[in-house]
Amino acid sequence: MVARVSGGGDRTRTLSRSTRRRIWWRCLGLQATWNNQRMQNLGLLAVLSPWVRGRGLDADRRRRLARRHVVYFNTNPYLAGYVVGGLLRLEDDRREGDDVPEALVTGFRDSLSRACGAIGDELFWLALRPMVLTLALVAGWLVAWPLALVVVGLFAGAELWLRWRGLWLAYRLGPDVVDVLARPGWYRAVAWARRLALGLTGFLAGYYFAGGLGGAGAPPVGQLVALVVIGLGIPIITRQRRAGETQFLVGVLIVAGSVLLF
Amino acid sequence: MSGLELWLAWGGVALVGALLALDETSLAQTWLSQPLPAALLAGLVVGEPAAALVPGFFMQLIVLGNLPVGAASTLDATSATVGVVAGALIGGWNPPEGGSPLVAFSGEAAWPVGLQMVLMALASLAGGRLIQLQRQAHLAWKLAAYRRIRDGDFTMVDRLHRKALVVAAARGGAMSLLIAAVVAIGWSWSGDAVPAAGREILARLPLVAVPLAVATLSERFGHPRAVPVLVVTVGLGLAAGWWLA
Repeated sequence: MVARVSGGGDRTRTLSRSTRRRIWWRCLGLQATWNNQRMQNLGLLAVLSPWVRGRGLDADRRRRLARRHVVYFNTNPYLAGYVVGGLLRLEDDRREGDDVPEALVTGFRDSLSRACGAIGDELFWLALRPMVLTLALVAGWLVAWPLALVVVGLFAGAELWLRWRGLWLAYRLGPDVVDVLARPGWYRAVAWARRLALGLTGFLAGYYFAGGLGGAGAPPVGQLVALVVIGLGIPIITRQRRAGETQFLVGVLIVAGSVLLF
Repeated sequence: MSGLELWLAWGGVALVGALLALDETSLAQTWLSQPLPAALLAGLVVGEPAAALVPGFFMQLIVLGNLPVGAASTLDATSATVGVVAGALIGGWNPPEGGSPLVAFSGEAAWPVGLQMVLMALASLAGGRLIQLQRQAHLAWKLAAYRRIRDGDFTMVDRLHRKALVVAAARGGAMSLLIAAVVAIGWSWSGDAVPAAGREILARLPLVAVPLAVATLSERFGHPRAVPVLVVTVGLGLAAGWWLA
C-alpha cells in the first residue's frame, strides 16, 4: 500500500522543458552507477544534477540536498519518473519557502520508491517482459524476423513515453501523485499481462511441437517426451532459485547423461 | 565476406555489443538487449539476420523467466548472444530449414544450434562475473569520492555517471568482440572436433528450451492459476499447428 502524503502546493510551478528533458535523459541512466551498498543512490543524485544547475543552488543548499539523498535508494527504473518528479516538486516547494519539512521529502521519497519498485517489478519484469518478448518470438518466427524488432521497438517507445509523462505528471501533482499509483488499473494491467504472457507461451509451445512432429528428423516419441519432461521439470525442481542459463546447463547434463547411458 | 566487409562486421559487433550492454541495465532498458532482438541485430551486422533468429529464439526462451531486479544476480545474456551469434555466422554457420526454429526437429543437423545455446549460457555466466566486478567498482568509486559527493559536488556525481556508462559500453563491446572472435575461430574446426555422441546430445538441446520456458512462467505465476491457461493455449497452438500443416 502506498503511504499517502498530504499537500500538493502551487500547481502552477513548472520545470522548463530543457531541464525536464535533461532530467528525463538522466532518469534513463538511473541504474548506471548501481552499487551493492545503496543501489541507485548515485543514480538519483545524477538525476537531480540538471535540476541543481537549473535552479542555481548555492553551495550550502547543494550540500544539504546531497546529504539528504545520498542514502539507500531503489525503485523500478520505468516508474522512477514518478518518484523523481514528485521529489523535485517537493524540493522546489521547499526552496520557494513553502512549509515542507525535510522528513516529508525523505518520507515521500522512501515510500514512493518502494511502492513504484513493487508495482513496477510486478508489471514490467514479471508480466510485461515475458509478454512482449513472447509476442516478439511469435511474430519473428511466424510472420517475419523484422516484426520481432518492431514489437520490441513499440515497447521501447511506450516505456520512454511513460518515463517522460511520469516525470511531468508527478512534478505537476507533487505528493498527490500517490493517487495515480494507487489506481487499480496498474494491478489489472499486471494480471492481464501475466495471462497474455502465459497464453502466448502456451500457444508458441503447442504450435512449435505441432509443426515439428511431422519432420523427417524428429526424435522418437519416447525421446521427445523425455526431453519435454526434462524441460518442464528443472524449473519446478529448482523453484526459480537459479537463472535460466544455469537451469539450461543442468538440462544439458541430464540430456548428456541420458544419451550416453541409453 | 571480403576483407573490408569482415572488418566492418567486427566493428559492428563491437558497436552493437557496446550499445546493447548500455541498454541492458545502465541506460533506457528498452529490451532491445534481450537475446532475441540482440541476436537479430548481431545478425544484421554480419548480414544474416534471418539465420540469427534461430539461436536468438532459443536463448530468449531460456532466459524468459530471469528476474533482473534490485540486488538479483545479473548474468550477461546480451554480450553472450551478440558474440556467439555473430561469431558462428562469421565462422561460416548456415542454418538448415531456412532459418526456422523447427531446425530442432531436423535430427543431427540441429547440433550447431545446440552448441550455440551451450556457448551462450556459459558466456552469460562468465559475463555475469564481469558485471559484478563493475558494480563493485561503482561502490569503490563512490567511497573514494564520498566526501565530495556528500558536500554537494555534483560535478563529481556527473563524472562518475559518465565513467560508469563508458565502462559499461566498453565491457559490452569488448566482451562481445572477444566471444565472437573465439567462436568464429573455433567454428571452422568444431565440425570435425565434435564426436558423434556430442552432436547427438547438442542436437536434442533446442527441444528442452520450449518446455523450460513454459514451466518457468508457470512456476513464476503460480501453477494453480497458470496450468489451466497453459492447457487451453497449448491445445490451441497444437490445433493451429496441425491445421496449418
